[in-house]
Amino acid sequence: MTTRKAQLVAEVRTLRDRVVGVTDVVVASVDGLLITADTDDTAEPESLAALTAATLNIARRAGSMTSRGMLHHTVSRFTDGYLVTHTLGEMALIGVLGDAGMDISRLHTEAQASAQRITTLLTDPSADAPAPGDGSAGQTDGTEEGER
Amino acid sequence: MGLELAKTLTEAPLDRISGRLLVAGDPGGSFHLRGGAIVEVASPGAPGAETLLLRSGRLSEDDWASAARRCATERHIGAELVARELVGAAELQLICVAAALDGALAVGMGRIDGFSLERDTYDSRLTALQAIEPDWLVMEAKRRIQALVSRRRPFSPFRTRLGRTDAGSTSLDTTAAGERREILLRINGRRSTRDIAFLLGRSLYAVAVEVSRLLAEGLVEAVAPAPSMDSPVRPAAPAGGLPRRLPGASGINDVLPLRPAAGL
Repeated sequence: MTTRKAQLVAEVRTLRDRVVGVTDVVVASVDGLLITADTDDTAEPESLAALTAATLNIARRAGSMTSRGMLHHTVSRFTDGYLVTHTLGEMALIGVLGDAGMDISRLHTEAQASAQRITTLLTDPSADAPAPGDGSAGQTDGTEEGER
Repeated sequence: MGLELAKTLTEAPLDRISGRLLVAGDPGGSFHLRGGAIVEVASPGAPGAETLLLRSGRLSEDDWASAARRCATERHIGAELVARELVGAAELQLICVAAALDGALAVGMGRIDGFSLERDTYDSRLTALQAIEPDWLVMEAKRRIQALVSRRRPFSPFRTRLGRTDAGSTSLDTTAAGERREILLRINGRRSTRDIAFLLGRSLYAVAVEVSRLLAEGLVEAVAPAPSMDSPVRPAAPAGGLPRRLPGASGINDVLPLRPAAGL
């Protein structure tokens, strides 16, 4: 496990620990590739990453088409819980699953702080992760840390 | 802060306060008041009446959605559920009171940073058919908190993540179907008591009492937070969390040379 990977895992766990009701957290690239996850046995990390990215991209396109400006986050409310996505710059995202009692306002506050730290981890060239692979123009280096 | 909150609640009937008492904290919550009495207590730390009804299977999602559509505001959804005979009035009152007690327990057991009263604000979700006396609610919540913290193995219903011990896993073969088994099955090392209460649609207090028994019997244990391999790699912090002092690091000896010790 690289230092950068360990720090990402720790950030994701911190977010889960700080907000009551958070059950699963994924960090993924905008194209849905998993970067890191802390998930319960009810959610498959790769699938959650892909679906979260799809949710965010649809919202982003809807916002773009209607000139609503930059997307910050999306919230899907279900009978038994939430799926919340937060953007990490243009290249990555955080997806959070929570139960029906999740403290949504606290999540937004904590997710913004986490987003800044995770973005730094994903983009900081000084982090001691393996060098990014070739042929990834336009991608942040963090996206190469995806499982596939 | 908790005492001030309790005082504000118990004095609410004197002024016949209506509105919302918002408690900031972790998990925090809100007390909804009508004419000085409590109609709902909501907290992220405990399942509300809606969760207790739906997750426990007492009410189907379709029935809930259908009743909710009929109500202009969800304030009266309880009366609608009773009118449709989806739930009995006494049962609904019991569930609402249990949820309110759970909410007060969650607020009281957590950290309270402050609270504010917003008069004439009505955003409650599912209110009790008969309002609850604040005096009684505060007293009963206090009694329950005392009962939980005085257990042999006190734990946080929100922060303590629970894992099954080997004995706990083995006991699954012999534990009869029921709440204890349902709780044991859902303990996976990453869920807290509160998480399990939400999953089962059961009262936080009832689940917490059962968890404390399981802890005392050694079938369940508190999982240590964040194993070291998952911790961010940072320079090791000195003991006590304070910067280590190094002799001469400040440069003071260059400016004020050391004086010889007395007698030398």
